[in-house]
Amino acid sequence: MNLALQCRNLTPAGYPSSAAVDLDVPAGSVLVIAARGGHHRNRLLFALAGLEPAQCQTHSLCGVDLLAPDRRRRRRARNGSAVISHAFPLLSNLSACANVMLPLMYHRRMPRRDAMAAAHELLDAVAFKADRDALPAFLNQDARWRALLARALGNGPPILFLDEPFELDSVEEWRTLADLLLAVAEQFNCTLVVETAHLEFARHHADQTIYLDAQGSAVFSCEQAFALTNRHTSWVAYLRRLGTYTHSHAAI
Amino acid sequence: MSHFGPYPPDGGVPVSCLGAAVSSFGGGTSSTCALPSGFHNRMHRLQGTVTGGCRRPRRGQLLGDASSQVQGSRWPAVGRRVGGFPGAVGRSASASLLFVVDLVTFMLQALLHWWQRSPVRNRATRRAVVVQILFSGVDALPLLLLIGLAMGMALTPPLLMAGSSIGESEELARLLVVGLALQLGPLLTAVILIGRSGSAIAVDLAQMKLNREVAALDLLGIRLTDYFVAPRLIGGAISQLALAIYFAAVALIGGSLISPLLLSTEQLSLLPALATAITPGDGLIFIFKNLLFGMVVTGTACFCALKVEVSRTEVPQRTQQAIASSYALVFVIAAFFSLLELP
Repeated sequence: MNLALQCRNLTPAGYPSSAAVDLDVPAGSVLVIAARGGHHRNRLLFALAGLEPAQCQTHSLCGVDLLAPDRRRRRRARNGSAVISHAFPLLSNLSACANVMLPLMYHRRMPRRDAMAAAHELLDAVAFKADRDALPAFLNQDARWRALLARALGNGPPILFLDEPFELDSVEEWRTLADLLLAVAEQFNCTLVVETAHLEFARHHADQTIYLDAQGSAVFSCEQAFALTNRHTSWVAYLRRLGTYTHSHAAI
Repeated sequence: MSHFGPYPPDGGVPVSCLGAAVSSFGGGTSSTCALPSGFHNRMHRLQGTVTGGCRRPRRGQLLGDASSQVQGSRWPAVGRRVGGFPGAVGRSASASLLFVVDLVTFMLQALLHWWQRSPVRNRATRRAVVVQILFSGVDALPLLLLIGLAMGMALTPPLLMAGSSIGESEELARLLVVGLALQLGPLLTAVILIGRSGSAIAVDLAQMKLNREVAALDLLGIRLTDYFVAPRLIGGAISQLALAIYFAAVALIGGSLISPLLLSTEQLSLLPALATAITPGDGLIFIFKNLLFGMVVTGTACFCALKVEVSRTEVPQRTQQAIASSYALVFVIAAFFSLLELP
């Protein structure tokens, strides 16, 4: 089995010791980190991507051991994966299209015209509807997020780390974006690691799910996640508001 | 029952605050601590003590201040201050030297990385160089035209009048070329480059770092030195050289054309002499000096801007540091080159 991501006993720095994560993520699958906002979920995502410091026994990304002493190889593996997050925004002095062109011209050394054509194709692939020559300051958050996705796809990453793609979407709209993500993953042959508060996405599309409980500790099944909480916590209130807290959960 | 933290269990004054207050008053009692700090300042002023009881002690000065308070004499403190002056000068000089060493290392490293990635074939960085030349060089041309004409008009007639006793047009032309084109031109152009481009680069890069755009570039596998710093260095150097040549030409030709109107028509004979007044050695030094000016201005801007860490208040501070350091370095380099040109 070709593994896109593998880790043993991974604990992001600053996490409680109970949050150690063991993962084997096959290539082409979907891993979801489900948690409410503010519960260190970014840190777990970034630690899995090799961006945040973490303690672990093994941690490999696309077959490259991130604990190995070969710094250049580690860097290449880390840069090969793509982290799409508003924490790493578009360059503010380049238009959306120029942002997507940048890695194509820098890494692949494409001529400007070819890079522009490829950038338009990538923006089409992520259904970017806004003005492509506008600076990021003039784009809404959804357009910026799609441009980030297109820019990341320019490097041809084998694995995509997505930081809350459904942040602004209503319950009706998230399905469209979820379909888009799955289509992009299939088209570009990517593994998806999605961190989200949207439990419906996890329920419908995840091959594996890590639930983070109210303390930010990782638990590995829905049952464990809800067993660790009681119905008086804000976590349960939040699930009720989303309409995802059902009687079966309460029974657990 | 044991308790943790600075606050005692009975809700009194925090322990650490009490300790700080006691130590700041040189072992005063709890009754002294109850008084406002301004009272002690006023009391020390009335008593004529130099050290001032509530002033925050400098590093390494605590013991000395306490001993001077015990002795009640002002001379040890004054002596320490006079004796500390060379130390402060030395610290400041070594900090400046380290700044220059760091800056040179930073610039060389950026150029080396850029060169290793075969910059001619890398279109992204090549385009960044072109854009930098457009912003720093081409956009500054109207301003340089105005300033060059003004400087030519302001300096050529007085220089010609002062040099009229020399008589020979070749020597007058040499005087103009050395004074206006080779010495003043690069300096004024560098000053304009600092004001226009150095500050803009510093603010731009500092904001990029604060907005985590620099981290995003790193995440994409794009080296900041390749994509941002080295193109700024190359573009700034080329722009500075081109602007200095433009400035010299405008100032010399404009001044030579305006001086016949103010003095006599014989001054028109200067024009052909100007072209022959520059020696190849002058030209080489002019080129090298301007390339260095351009690199120093843009390199200092990038170097200072990358020191911004977390707060937006650091942006104006670092920009100010970049501008002030650029001015200082440019004038020191100009003085160094002037010494080199002495026969």
